[in-house]
Amino acid sequence: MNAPYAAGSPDALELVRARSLVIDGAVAWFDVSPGDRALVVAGQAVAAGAALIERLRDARPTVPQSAPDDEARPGDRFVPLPGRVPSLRGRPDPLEVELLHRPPSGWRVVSGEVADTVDAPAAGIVREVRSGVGLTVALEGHALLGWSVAGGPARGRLVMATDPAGELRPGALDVGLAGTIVVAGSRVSAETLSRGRAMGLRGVIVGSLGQKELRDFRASEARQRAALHRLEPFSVLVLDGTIRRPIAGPIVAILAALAGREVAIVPDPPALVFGDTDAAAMRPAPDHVRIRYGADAGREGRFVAALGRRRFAANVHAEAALVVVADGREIVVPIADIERFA
Amino acid sequence: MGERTGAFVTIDSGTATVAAAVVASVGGRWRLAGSLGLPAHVGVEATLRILGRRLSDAGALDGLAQASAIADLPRLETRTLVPSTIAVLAATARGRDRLAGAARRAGWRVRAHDLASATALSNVIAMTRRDVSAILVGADDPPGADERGVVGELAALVAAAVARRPELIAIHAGSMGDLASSAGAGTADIATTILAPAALDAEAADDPLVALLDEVRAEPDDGRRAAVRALGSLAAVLDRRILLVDIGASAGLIARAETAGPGGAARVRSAVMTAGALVPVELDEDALEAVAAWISEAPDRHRLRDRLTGLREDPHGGATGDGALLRMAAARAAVIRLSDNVSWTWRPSGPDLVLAAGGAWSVAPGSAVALALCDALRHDGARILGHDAARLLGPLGMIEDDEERASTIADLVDDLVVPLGSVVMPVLAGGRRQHGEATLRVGGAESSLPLIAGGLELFDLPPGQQAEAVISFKDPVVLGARGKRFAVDVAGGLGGLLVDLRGVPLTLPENPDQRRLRVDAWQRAMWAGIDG
Repeated sequence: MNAPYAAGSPDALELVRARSLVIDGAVAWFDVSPGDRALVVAGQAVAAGAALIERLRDARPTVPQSAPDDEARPGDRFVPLPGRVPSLRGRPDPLEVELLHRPPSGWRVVSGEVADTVDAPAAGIVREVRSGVGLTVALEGHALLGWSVAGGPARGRLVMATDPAGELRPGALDVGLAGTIVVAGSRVSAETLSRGRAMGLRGVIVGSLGQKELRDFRASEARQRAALHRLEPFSVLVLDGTIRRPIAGPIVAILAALAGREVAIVPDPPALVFGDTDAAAMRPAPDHVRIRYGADAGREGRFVAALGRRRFAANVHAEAALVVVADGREIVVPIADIERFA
Repeated sequence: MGERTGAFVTIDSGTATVAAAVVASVGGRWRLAGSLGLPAHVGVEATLRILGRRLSDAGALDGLAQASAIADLPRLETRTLVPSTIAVLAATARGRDRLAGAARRAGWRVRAHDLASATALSNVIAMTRRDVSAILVGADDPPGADERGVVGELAALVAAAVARRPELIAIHAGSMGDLASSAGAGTADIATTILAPAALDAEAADDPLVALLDEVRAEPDDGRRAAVRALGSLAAVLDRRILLVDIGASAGLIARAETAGPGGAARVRSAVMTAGALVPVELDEDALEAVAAWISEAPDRHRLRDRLTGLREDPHGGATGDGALLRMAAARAAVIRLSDNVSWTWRPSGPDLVLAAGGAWSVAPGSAVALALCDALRHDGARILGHDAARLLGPLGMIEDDEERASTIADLVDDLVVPLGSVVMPVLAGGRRQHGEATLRVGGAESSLPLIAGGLELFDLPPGQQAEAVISFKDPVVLGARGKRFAVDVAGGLGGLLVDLRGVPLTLPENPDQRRLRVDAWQRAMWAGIDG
């Protein structure tokens, strides 16, 4: 029952979780809330930086003093009579609002006074626009997939700010990095993120982000948004999850190749979008694996064989793999603790 | 399968694990030839291929099938999907909580809102979020005074959501459907509307709304619904009251089956809840504290939250060493959440058999699983503990014919219920340091241990062995009934017999250091090789 399976055996590699590294043809989703206005239509080609959505930041339901016709439905756009609607300062006339719903007392519309625009972080073609729900854009180029994104879409020049296993400190950030997306190593603090936003960074790419840091970052973003001044895009792309590990070697190689180039972060799917085809083609060998847990977490090496069930710490029996790590050592690890790159 | 010739495979595809088993006819009975559980990314066909090869290597397929032919055998297959999200909307907080409770017991991931605490805009946003697949809106039947005036508003909000997302299913509960129609509030736009009964209290015996919501949520091959069917058959076969606790990566199932008498059909009650997942999506402070209570190391709360988030995202990763202890702590907390969310765990009386199922238990030795079940399920009584280690219950529930299902389960009962042991858990009188004695009679042999309140005593009783345990105290205790001396039949298992005098409910020391020491001591006693 414990016969080893060599690396060449399909059975063996199938047991190792494959992590998608780079995909082409990613379709990005952008939330559109009731009251927001899509500035694009399905089938439209958009360039990077083109305005996609006008977003009301202080949206609220209000009563229009003129009613739409009987055919109107929730979600329809509506132009009430001039001078008889809530003012929308800073927006061009004619004032157009969205019908929210129609309770027995009559229609409500969504109004607000402060609007931001959400710009396309990368070029693409608008696939679908759903009023009050969201829109999708089929992105050009390649997408390096991450684990999650905090913040909205962002675009900037990629800068390697620290080594893959390091932690970017707040003091390392200055205005010279304004407009860039920096690679911040394995971990980053909420303080570093706040300083990054203050220094005009467009984004941070990090191996892992703790839940506390994420919560603090979101609270900081919410406070800034409540101040009702326009916020520049800022986004945090987390590559691996919540547990601290160095950024994976194959990802570092791609990021290093992209240094100095324009890249974009999209929230859904969480990914770094770029156009460099040579970087997208960078792939490790099929048997290149990375250890994700335990004393050797972060080490990378070559998958040699699946060993069947073995006994591990705390008397746990699990499927095992034999891996040769970079320094030549052969180690046996639970097969669920390693990943390969597809 | 009724003829008991050849072999068939069972497949339980969960959100985290694929479990496959080969069941073969041996001497005119179905027996388990072998099973294998692998991470879900491996897939069903690869799992079957690997299982077939291993069984072939071990000579377990002789005369049954070739390793390569395992994939061609008849299949009993279930799937468990990540729970869908339902947006709940009610006029009042009371109505919201009642509807949300029903949806949670039916296995939905719930976002609950009411008119009083949110604006119309935020309610529409909540209902139109991309991950929402259904809306449950309701009012009592008859409607309360605080509901009558706002039913039109409720209906308009639902109509606003469905106008933006026509694919949504709208479920109108209680008097909502009638009132909304009479109010003429735009419900004609809704493509898929289901009229449902009003929600009952959580204490209610059977809630038709829960049944309907479960029907809307689950696919025909849903693994947990199938497991409930099979549990009824198992209870009828064994003529025992059985409590099933199934802890999965995305949801948990608690079910209770009991028969009115020998040969009778079983009555089964069940609840599927996302709160019963190994690590719930809503990892609030209470959920965190519930896990921290069972960890023997000093946990930093932020790090613990990160580790649990990692566990939720990658249930198979880091499952050895400290990771195994974390999983068992999370599993205890999940069982407690499941048990606390239904009123019938111990009613009308405690179960004879507690059966653990789901991927959460796969990392630990059987004796450690037995301890975790004792830690989490606190009620006086004596019960047997078992584990559906091969994950047969769900797939066997896919046998449609009741008799055939029961007869197949009767054949497989020894494979389906891996014996973990037995627990005797009396309730001692408060405020006294009671002393007593436990005697285990196996055949003609006897062994005795002194009993001291607060202790956890272990008897070695191997799987397959039956025994009589005699528990006597100087002062009266409660063990099903009040008395000083009890004789109960117990069954052996990987954890032996546990006489648990730690208290019902179990109160852990307030002092974190003392609590960790206590938890560590209990765990070391039951988890061989915990430091290895």
